[in-house]
Amino acid sequence: MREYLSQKWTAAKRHPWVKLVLLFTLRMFGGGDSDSNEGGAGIGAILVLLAMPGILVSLLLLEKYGSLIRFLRGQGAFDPFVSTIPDEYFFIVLSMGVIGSVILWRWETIFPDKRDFQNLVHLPISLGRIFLANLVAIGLFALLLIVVTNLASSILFPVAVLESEGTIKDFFPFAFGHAVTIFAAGVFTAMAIFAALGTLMAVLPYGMFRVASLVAKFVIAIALLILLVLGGSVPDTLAKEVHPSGLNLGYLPTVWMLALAQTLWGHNTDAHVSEMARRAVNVSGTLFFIVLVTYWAGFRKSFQRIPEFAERSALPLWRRPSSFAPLRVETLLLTNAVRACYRFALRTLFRSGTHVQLMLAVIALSAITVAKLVLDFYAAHTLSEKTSAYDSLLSLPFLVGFLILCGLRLAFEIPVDIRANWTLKFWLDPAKQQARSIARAVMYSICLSWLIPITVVYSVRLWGWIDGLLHTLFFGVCALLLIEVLIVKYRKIPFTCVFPSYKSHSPLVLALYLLGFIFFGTYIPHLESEALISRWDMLWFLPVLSGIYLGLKTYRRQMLDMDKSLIFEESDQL
Amino acid sequence: MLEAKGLFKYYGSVPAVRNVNFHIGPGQVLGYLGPNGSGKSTTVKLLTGLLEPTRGQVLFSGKNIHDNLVSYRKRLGYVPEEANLYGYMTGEEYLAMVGTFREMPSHILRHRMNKLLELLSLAEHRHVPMSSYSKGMRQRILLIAALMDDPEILILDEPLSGLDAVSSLVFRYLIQGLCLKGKAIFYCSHVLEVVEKVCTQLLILQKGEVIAHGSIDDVRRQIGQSTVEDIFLQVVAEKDVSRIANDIVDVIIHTR
Repeated sequence: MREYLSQKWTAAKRHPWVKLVLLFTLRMFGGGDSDSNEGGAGIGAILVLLAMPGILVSLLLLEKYGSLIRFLRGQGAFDPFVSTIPDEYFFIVLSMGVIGSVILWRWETIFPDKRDFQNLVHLPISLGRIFLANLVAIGLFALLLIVVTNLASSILFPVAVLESEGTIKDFFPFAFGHAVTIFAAGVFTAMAIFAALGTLMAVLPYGMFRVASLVAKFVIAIALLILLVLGGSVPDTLAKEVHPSGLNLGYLPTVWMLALAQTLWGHNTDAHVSEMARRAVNVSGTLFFIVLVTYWAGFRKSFQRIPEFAERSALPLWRRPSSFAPLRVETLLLTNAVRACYRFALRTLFRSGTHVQLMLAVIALSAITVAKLVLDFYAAHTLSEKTSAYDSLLSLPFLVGFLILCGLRLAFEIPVDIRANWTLKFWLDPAKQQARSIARAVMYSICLSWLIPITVVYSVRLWGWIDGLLHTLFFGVCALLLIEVLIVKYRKIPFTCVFPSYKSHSPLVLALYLLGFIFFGTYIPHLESEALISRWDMLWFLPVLSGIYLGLKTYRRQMLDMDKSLIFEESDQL
Repeated sequence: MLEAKGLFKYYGSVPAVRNVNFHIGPGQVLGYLGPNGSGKSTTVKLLTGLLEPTRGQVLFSGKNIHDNLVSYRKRLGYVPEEANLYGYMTGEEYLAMVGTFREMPSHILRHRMNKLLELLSLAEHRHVPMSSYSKGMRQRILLIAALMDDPEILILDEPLSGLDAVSSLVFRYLIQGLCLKGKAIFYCSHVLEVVEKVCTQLLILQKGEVIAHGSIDDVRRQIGQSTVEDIFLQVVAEKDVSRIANDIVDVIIHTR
């Protein structure tokens, strides 16, 4: 049987149409993309990573729904169809978030590009066949993502909920409703994004589509982040309201999906919930239709015109970033080499699609963080809530600064075009250790040049001149120190090094960034708010911050010259 | 002016260049020839300091170039084999970046850049990202970048690649003009006809070793052939090229 299937598969693979489908599908997962700078994390690794959140969360819930824990917490009667609603909502958000993020990540590989055009169009393959293969590949890509992301939790979550006290009679409807819902959430997300991409492609000229798709990605990323941020509070709000559809929450696709789960469980008696479940089904069906129509229209319109546009920059709007006044710190830079590299780095950051996307993601994250803090501030009712929210406004520049500076530091590690590095290699003297000056100048320009003035304005308005200026000064010094910490061992020209070092020890780096975020974004502002009660206490920070600065200086001085010299290639050996 | 002295380069245990010696004086053009994989590009990288020799030295005015690489490169113009450029930069931005690295005074940089862009028919494309340039346009950008600081030495690795017929002719006369002004030029190419017309010396490399070196007339006499093409074919080609071509035709037409 196995041999028979293997023979059938080998025969099928020889078919030109199957070959095309495989070509497109593999590229969407990052396979067969030898020119890519992403280093090609294998398909297997990607799929394992996708499955992990669902598995981990389900395992953690084993404890939560264990009968002993519920007994110890004094929780009595247990209705799995009611008590699990917050977790069901979480799984819906997780499914949408993970699938949405992966599709955004692989966005550029979904539609056939110039390389496909050059390799396929001169061959005896009809345009319709290329379109159909691409469409099937998109379907396979989405299906695989959805299955891998949700399969584990569709089994483990019902087991976790019903293993101690559930009955078989409850188990099957619960598992069925949960599985269908989270799969439907994934399908909905994939189709919503593909529909957006298809509509843009069908409506806009190809050149404009490339710019618009970047904006669309940013908007979708913001939408996904909003879903994640609201993830904790939506189920509570829904539980308090008699008619959720009367709230704005009724417009959230996640709420429709939750309603779908409740309807499928057969425990729904609310007409509004049924209405929202119907909305989930209707909108998904409409999206499916939109995807088909707009993709065909967009494909016909754009694919044959690829050679006219594909080589153009996707970002024509930012042609001259260095002429933007706040960014002209280059005049302060001492050597020509540093000045030239600074301009190079800024241009890369503003024009390279990958780097712009990364920075947009960071900006989106920062925007959501700011929005959350400001909303908390306005939503505070009691005095203690107001005091706490007021204090948390102190952390605004710290959080935004940390996110942008760390985002920049991460972006520096992503090479833009390693084949073109010869120009920089040719001119830069490795012994001169100019990398940090360049990185520092870019970080000042991109982050501090606008964040410090904004901090002055809002903090003086909120806390008056003295506290406002003290806060700005304190933030400024902390941000400068953060930059020094981030670049203490930096010895590359941004965007040029062949091997992204974060890959070699990424879990450790991720943990450090998370700790840093908590420390810099919440702990330091908390200390500052304590110190601001009596302003003289701010002086305590002086020796601490000076000590950190001197420590960094000493560390640099003790480093070997060979560890400080400029590099363009990095081995993955730690 | 520029001298290669006993150059050896090994990649691991694989020899790429073995015992290469030559000297290029002011006003001389060395034509550097060899089949694919003979070590030409490795030599170019050694001469530009992008690679360090395993053994031997590259000397500029009697000094090892690695003693002060940046100062050496300021006197060097280099056109690489492949026009790998940052596609999102415009032609003008790229040239300005190179001019800044070369520490050219900004008024001279601007003047020369404008003039050269105009002369090489790139003025109207100066603000366009180089990703939309043709191969020939990118090659012309590289030529401007190499020439605009008036270098003493020029290292040209397949400089005609992608250039149209008119630009190629301009380039040929340009080499002769620069040669008359005392520039030392290292010219690495497969276009044997141009090599014959512009070079004063010839060096033929095979499997990393020099198999013929001298003035073009000397080499002609040594090998007993009248053209550079015949010389090249005699010393390098292991098979009869016309026979290979006929065999290819046979495979396509007759194999069923």
